[in-house]
Amino acid sequence: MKALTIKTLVFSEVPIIRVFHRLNYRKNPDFIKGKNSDEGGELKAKVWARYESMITQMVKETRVRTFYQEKSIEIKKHEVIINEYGFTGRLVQARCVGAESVFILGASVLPGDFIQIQKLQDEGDIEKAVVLDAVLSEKVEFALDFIEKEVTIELNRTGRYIGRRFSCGYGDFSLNYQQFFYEILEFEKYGIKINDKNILFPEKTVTALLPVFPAGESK
Amino acid sequence: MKNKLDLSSNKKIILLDGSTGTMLQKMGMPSGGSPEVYCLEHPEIIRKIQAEYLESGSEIIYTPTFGANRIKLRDYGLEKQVADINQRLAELSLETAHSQGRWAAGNVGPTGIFYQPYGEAGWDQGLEIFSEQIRALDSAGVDLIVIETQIDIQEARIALMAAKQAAACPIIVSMTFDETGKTLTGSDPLTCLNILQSLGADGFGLNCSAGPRQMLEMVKKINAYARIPILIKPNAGLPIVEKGETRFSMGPEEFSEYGEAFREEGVSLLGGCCGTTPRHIRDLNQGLKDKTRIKKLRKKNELLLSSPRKTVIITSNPEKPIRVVGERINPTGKAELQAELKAGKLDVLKTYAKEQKENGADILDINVGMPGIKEKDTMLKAVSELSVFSELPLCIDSNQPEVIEAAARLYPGRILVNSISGEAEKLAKLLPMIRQYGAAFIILPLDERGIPDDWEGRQKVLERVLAACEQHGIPRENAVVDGLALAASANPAGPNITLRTISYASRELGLNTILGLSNISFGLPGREFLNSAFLAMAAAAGLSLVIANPMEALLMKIKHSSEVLIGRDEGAREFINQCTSQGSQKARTHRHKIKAEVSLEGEIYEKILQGEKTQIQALIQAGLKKGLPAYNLVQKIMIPAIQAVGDKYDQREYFLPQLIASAETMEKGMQLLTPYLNQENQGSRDLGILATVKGDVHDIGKKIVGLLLRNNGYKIIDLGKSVDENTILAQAIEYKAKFIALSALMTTTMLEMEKVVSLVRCRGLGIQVILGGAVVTQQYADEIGADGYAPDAVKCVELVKRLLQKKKPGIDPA
Repeated sequence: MKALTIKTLVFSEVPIIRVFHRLNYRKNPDFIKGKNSDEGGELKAKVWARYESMITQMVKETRVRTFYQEKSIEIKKHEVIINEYGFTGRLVQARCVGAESVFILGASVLPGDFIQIQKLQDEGDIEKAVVLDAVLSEKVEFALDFIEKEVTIELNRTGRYIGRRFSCGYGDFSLNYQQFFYEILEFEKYGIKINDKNILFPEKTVTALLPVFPAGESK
Repeated sequence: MKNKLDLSSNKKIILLDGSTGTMLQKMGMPSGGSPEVYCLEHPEIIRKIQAEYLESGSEIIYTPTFGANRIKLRDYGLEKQVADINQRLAELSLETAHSQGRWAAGNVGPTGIFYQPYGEAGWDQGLEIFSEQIRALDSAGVDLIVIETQIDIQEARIALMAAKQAAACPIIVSMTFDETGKTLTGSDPLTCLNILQSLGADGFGLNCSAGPRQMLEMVKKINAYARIPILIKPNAGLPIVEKGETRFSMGPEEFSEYGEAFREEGVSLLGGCCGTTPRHIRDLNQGLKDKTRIKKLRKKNELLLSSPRKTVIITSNPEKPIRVVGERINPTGKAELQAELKAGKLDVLKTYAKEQKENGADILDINVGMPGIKEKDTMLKAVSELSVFSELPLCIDSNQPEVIEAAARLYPGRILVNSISGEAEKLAKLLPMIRQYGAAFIILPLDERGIPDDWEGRQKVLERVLAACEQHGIPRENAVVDGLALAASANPAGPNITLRTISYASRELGLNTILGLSNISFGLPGREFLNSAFLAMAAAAGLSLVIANPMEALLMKIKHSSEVLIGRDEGAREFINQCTSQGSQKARTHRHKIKAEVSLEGEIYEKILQGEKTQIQALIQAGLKKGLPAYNLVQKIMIPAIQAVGDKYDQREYFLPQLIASAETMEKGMQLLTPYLNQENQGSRDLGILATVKGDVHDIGKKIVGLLLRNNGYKIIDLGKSVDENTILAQAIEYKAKFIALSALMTTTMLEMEKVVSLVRCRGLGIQVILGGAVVTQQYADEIGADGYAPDAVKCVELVKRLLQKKKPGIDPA
């Protein structure tokens, strides 16, 4: 099993369109279509001009720490056991049936970068705070995508493949399981906190389970 | 042992192996360990797998060294054994392959870290990591190096450069593209091909992530531009999880059916990735009745420049337009840009980049040379910023070879160097660098003696520079010849010599040409007319690129018109588009807006609508001075403005940050007006309490709600986050609140809302309790007996207005 790997990633490649999506721009299909097709349009030009530079700078100046570790898995009738923790529910059963192990993934914005959101609010610049909030949300998601890709490449060369990743709060996979991720990924050592409602701080911290399957014959 | 591998002159398709991982697992490799260590401990297993592949027809097998770099081996505490592990594993594969007269490729995978300008790791650090592994593979005697499954073009560039320094054998770089046809960091196959082949890769590949069908489509898009052999290693279709096993949708027979299609598209090396087995390779081998490699016709006289995310094709061929190199990022004569660069800022530079792109630039010229700054540092900062900010390829414009070299190294694309000339000293410095980084370059037909007076002199300089390029092994198609325009006012014969240079380079040498237009009109009035006219003439002479200011509308119109007239705009599509689009009316700029005549009230309204905070207080002050009552300003101008913003938000015309920018502008205005409103006895109306419930730390959404409620005249007390029900209630009573607005973002904390509602109900208070937050729904609000639910801040204002219109039964805390 792969030991806990921790990396601080500095990357500036989060596609800006994803941040715009998070800021609800996806709700205007013309806007997105206009942007993607490189066509003009007043709305696109105005909105894009206002926020593109702000977003690019924020993406460049913030850092994300990633965590991942592989653990074996045992599937029982009503429960899935990972590292002596029991998980119940339909989602975990459905996603993990047949898996031989799971990767436990995590990504968190560095606390110093996260605090900037609050600082901006305190300074009365909520507009910028909201944009930074969206940037950091996308950054941790992108970091998770990146480590999933990395893990996938690693697994494929050992003839194993991944299923679909899922997180606490998806379907019936309870938020209470956040405690498991907190311990396994040793979040405490890196200044990440968890409260009695299982909310992680910095809030821009994401975790996920990624089931690993052996290869079968191609059809 | 088989002959030395020569990829380019090989006349047959070379079959590669399939997946090693799939086979290792089948043969009992336990999960979670290092495959490299497992292969060292079980040499018989890897020998058996590779023997099966050779038996199936593979002519090249890959060494099991994909993760044998120091970053990956560190996970197993083996980072100090990189050389030993690679050498031993390579020897195993070499022994198997050479005993049957086949080849073994040293396999190099990604490191899993980001490199500058995308990450923290430096170029030299990357070079060291890859060199260590590749040197070991090379010294073991591998027949070629395959750098594969790369997801980031910058890492692929570094790995290739390391391989070129550390290995003498051929080097192939293979990228992996997802279902959108992009790498994880957003590069498309043509961009990767262009960058890597110009950097000196001996082959370019696509492997993993996609099945043969998807990969075939990608190959069709790039094969006409490939000067080097193409390698394909698709997965056995797409993976499906079925009964606890990952199965690939494609069996050997179906997989092999794609072999002929790949051959027809000019693929030279063919194998399989995830899910493929010796059976897939055997069927592929048997299915390919004719293995003769088909050489695809390559497009002539085309030069490709790439940013990490986009490739621009430059040609004087009729089907493509003249490309515009935006010239504005140059501090000469631009006080604003000079001041910024001196202060170490890049905001103006980025604005220039954006404006030029929106007005038709295809490439950005970057010149940051000026007194008082360190040019190299500023150039690197600009390149780093623009490689993320802009998708246009860069033209690096500097007199300093070391500045150009540093930029070429850092930029994860293929640059155009501006420029080289016949000056021997500069040629000696620049040509090796141009070759090393695969850059395209502009040749100025001048030398130590200056610009030749006549056409023949220019021709001689050009021939000398091209000969020097050939001596350095630089393909002449990487050159772009500058027509070198001189001031028509001082050199009446100059324009003709320039046109002759363009025509000669384009038609006789088959090279691309470029022209810096503005010199031609120097010293004369009406420069834009002269520049535009000369552009039309140069276009007819075969010009490929123009260095110009795309913000000059006349020039751009003449460019589009010329393209129609010389047949470089099929169906006059682009011309019609330009003539009918709004953009043709005037150059789009973000900094100099033409102001319409508007009243002061209109300006205040507009500032709120546009969310422009900086001038709102000054405008309101002016309104008050003019004698406008504060109440009228708020009720007749500002509230209608913020309501219009709300309407635009509702109609999806405005989005969250714009809504907030407008609300903040309104708030700034309200801060100034509140004392006047109190004097006029028009102070705000009802008071509300806002809180994020106990245990929940999210409050940015609540802040937006507070802002909009204040904008609409409500007094708001924001208790902050993680507030318990007793505090909320006590504060509501103390402040005589009319409503309590609660926020929660998590299902676990949402339950706290019920406690607040219950407390309010138990006390029989007539306070309205409303809810919001990502996980809350109308149904939940109804279930716990809340008075209302709002999905966003705009709806919350409407809800409060509606609820407070009717008095709620119960004790009024007021």
